Amino acid sequence: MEQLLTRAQEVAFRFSLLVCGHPEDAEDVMQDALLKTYQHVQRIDHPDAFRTWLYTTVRNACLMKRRRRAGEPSHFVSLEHGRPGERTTAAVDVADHTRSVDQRLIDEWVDKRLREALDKLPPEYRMIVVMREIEGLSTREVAAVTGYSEANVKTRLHRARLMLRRHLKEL
Amino acid sequence: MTPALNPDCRRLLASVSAYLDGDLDATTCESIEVHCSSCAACADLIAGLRETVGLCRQAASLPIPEAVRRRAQASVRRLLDTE
Repeated sequence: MEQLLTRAQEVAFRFSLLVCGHPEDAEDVMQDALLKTYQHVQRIDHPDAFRTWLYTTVRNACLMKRRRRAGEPSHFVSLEHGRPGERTTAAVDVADHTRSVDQRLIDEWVDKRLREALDKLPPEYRMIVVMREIEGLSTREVAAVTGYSEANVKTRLHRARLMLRRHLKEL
Repeated sequence: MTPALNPDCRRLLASVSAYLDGDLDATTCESIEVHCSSCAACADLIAGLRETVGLCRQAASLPIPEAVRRRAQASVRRLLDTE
């Protein structure tokens, strides 16, 4: 259980930084992934379905975070608001507010050229290239997360690779 | 202005990702390799895309920063301790 929950946060960290490109959101997205995975964990019966669920959840958390950005503190997430019959507990705040994901950590983590080239891709292409090439999801899994057809995922991946190569050459 | 691609280059450009992903049959792969042996631009394209994909896959093997991992583990323990 501990390993699974930590893994959910690692996925959230990488997705926040590489796809959404907002390090200031990473901490909140990680916490969201942690709490949602904790609530969902009882229903996991297939690892592949869990991966798709997790990436969809993290993607939605990133999108929601951007929409809520106008000043609302969202660290505090109640576990009381689960579905009827789900295991629940008192509201907890599990984030460590004393530190946030800062730029230094990111700079030390992923190749700067790659990050800059990824940043230049349109978001829907960036998301596909990160999920396929970095996160190692299959075309079918990416299609399930994004709602695109598998053929569309392949076409977008092809275009994204060409754009990424061009941006890397320019840097 | 970018010069127009010849038909062979255009075909290669359309199928290069499938080629890199091993999705093409042996005959098509061979025709791409024959074309690249006499077309420096297409050979360069394939080399560049291999490098691009390789750079992404290097990033895949990087563990997340240790400080972030420690904080994630601490958050998990705090959550599990509330049970």
